[in-house]
Amino acid sequence: MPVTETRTPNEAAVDVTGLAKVYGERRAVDGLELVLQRGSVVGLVGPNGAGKTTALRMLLGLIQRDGGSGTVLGSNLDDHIGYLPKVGALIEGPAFTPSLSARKNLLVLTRLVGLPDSRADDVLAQVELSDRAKDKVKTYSLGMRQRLGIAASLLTDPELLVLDEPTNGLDPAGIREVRDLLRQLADEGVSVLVSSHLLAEIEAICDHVVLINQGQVGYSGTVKGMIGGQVAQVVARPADPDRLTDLAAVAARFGETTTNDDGTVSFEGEQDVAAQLNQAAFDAGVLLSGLGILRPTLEQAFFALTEKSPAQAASPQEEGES
Amino acid sequence: MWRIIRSEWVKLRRPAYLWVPLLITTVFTAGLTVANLLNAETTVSNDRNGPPQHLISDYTAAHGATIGIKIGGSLAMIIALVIFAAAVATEYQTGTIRNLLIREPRRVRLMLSRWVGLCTWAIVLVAVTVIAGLVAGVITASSRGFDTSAWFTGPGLRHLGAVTLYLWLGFCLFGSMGAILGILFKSPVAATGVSIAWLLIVENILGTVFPGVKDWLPGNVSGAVYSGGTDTLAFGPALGLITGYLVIAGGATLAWFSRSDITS
Repeated sequence: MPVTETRTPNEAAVDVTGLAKVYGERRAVDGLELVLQRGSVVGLVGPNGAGKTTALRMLLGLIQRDGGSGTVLGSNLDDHIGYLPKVGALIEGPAFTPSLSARKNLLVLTRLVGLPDSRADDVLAQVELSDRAKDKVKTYSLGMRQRLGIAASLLTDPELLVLDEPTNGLDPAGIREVRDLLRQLADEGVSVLVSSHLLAEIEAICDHVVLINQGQVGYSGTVKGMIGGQVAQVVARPADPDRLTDLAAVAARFGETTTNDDGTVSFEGEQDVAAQLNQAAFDAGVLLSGLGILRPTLEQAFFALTEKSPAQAASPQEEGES
Repeated sequence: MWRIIRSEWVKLRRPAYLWVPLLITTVFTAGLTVANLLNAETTVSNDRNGPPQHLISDYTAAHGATIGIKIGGSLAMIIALVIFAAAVATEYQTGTIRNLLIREPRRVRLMLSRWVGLCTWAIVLVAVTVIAGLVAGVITASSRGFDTSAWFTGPGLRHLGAVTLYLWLGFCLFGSMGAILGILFKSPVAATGVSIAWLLIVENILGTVFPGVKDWLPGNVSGAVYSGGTDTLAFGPALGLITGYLVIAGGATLAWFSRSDITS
C-alpha cells in the first residue's frame, strides 16, 4: 500500500494501517492506510460505496473493525475513551431531534460531556445561528442543519475534526464560510479530516487528499500531486475549419491524436510540444487560430484514478510526490 | 452518570414526552376515580354485566385513596412503556445515537444512565397519578358525603406510600421492557407494538392455555409487583423474578448493543 508521507506516529493525529471492514463477502474497507498530520486538512474522496464513511465510522468507534491498528491523537485505535473526547465529528449528515430547538439540541451534548451551557451559545455564534437558536430544528433548511452539525462538532474544542460532506446543502456563501472556518481551525492546530464528493471543495480546502476506491487507497498525497499525475493535453484549432484533417495529420507526428467535435485536435503533451506543433503546422501551411495546454483538474484526476483498480491507481501518486 | 441523566432530561422535557403523558394520566386517573366513587354502593350489585364495583366501605377505609390511583396507574404503565421505548428507539431513527456514542463511547454506561434518567421521569408520572387520584377522590368522596379521614391516618398514608412505590416499580419494569425492545428493534412503533401485543395478547393466550405458566410470564409478574402482590404471587417473589428476567434480558441486550454496528 503506497504511503507517501514520512510516518511519524507521535506527530500524526491519525495514523492507522490495515483498516478493514467486511460485510459478508464484500470487503467494504480493505487494508486502508491513513496518515493525517496534526494541523493539516486532509480530504477523503472516492466514488459512492468506496468505503469513505465506513472508514470514518470505524475511526469514530461506531462500527467494529475487522482488521487494522494504529493511533488516533496518540491513543490506540481501540481506546475510544482515550481519544473520542478530543474528536469532533459530523458524520452521515447532521442528526438532531427535530422537535427541539437548536440550542436545546446542543444542550443535550454539552450536558452529556459536562460542558457549561454557554458553550452551546458560543458555537451557535461561531456558525452564525444565534438568531435562530430558539427555533425548532424541524424548521431549519438543510444548510442551517449543516451549520448546526458543524457547531455540534466544535463543542468540545476538538483536536481532530472529522467531517462527512460538511458543505452539503450549503449555498456558495455558506460553502466559503465553512472553507474559511476549516482553514482557520487548521491554522489553530486542529487536524481536519473531511470527506466530500465536491472535488472543487477538496481542492480548495485540503493540503492532502486520500482517494479511496473499492475500499483501498487509490492515491494518497498532495492535491497538486494527484493532478500532476495526469498528463496535460495540447489543444489546437485551425484558422480554417476545413484544414482540421491536415492539422490532425501534422499533430499525429507528436503522438496519438484525437479530432474533437468542437473543431480542435488534441494529444498528450506539454508546453514545449505545443511550440513544436505551432512550427510544424505553420510549415505545413496550416494557420492556427487557437493553441493551448489543457491542464487536468482534480475531477479528471479522480475519474482517471477511479477507473483503474486501486493497485493501478497507486502509480501516479509516486510520480506526483516525487 | 449525572451528566447523562441531565442530558436525557433536556429531551424528556419535550411536550410529547412530558406534558402529553401527564395530561392523559391525570384525565384518566381522575376520571376513573370519580366514576368509581360515583358508582360505589353499600352492597355489591347482582348485575354481573355492569362495571367493576367497589363498596362505599372500601372507599372509607384506610386504603380507599389508592383504589382509583391503581386503576389509573394501569394506563400509565402502558404510557411508561411507550415513552421508554420511544426515548431509546427514536435516537436510531433520527441518527442522534451517533452524536451520543461519539461523545460517550462507554455504551453500557450511556444506556444504563439513560435508563436511570427515564426512571426519574417515571417518578414524575407516579406523582401525577397519585395526586390526580387523590384530589379527584377527596373531591368526589366529599360530594357524596363519604368520610375520607382514614386516608390520612398513619395506616392510610403508609398504604398510599406503598402503592406509590409499587406503581413506580411497575412503571420502571414495563418501561424497561419497552427500552429493551427499543434497542433491539430500533423503532419506537415496532418496540411498542410488540410489547403491547405480548402483554395483552400473547400472555393472555399462554396464561389461558397453560395456566401453570401464568405467574412466570413477565407481564403478569410485573403486574404482581405493581399490585403489591396477587393471590398467587406475592410481591417479594414477583420482584425477585422480574429482576432476574431484567438482568438477563437487559444484560444480553446491553452486551449486544456494546458490540453492535451503529449504521443508522
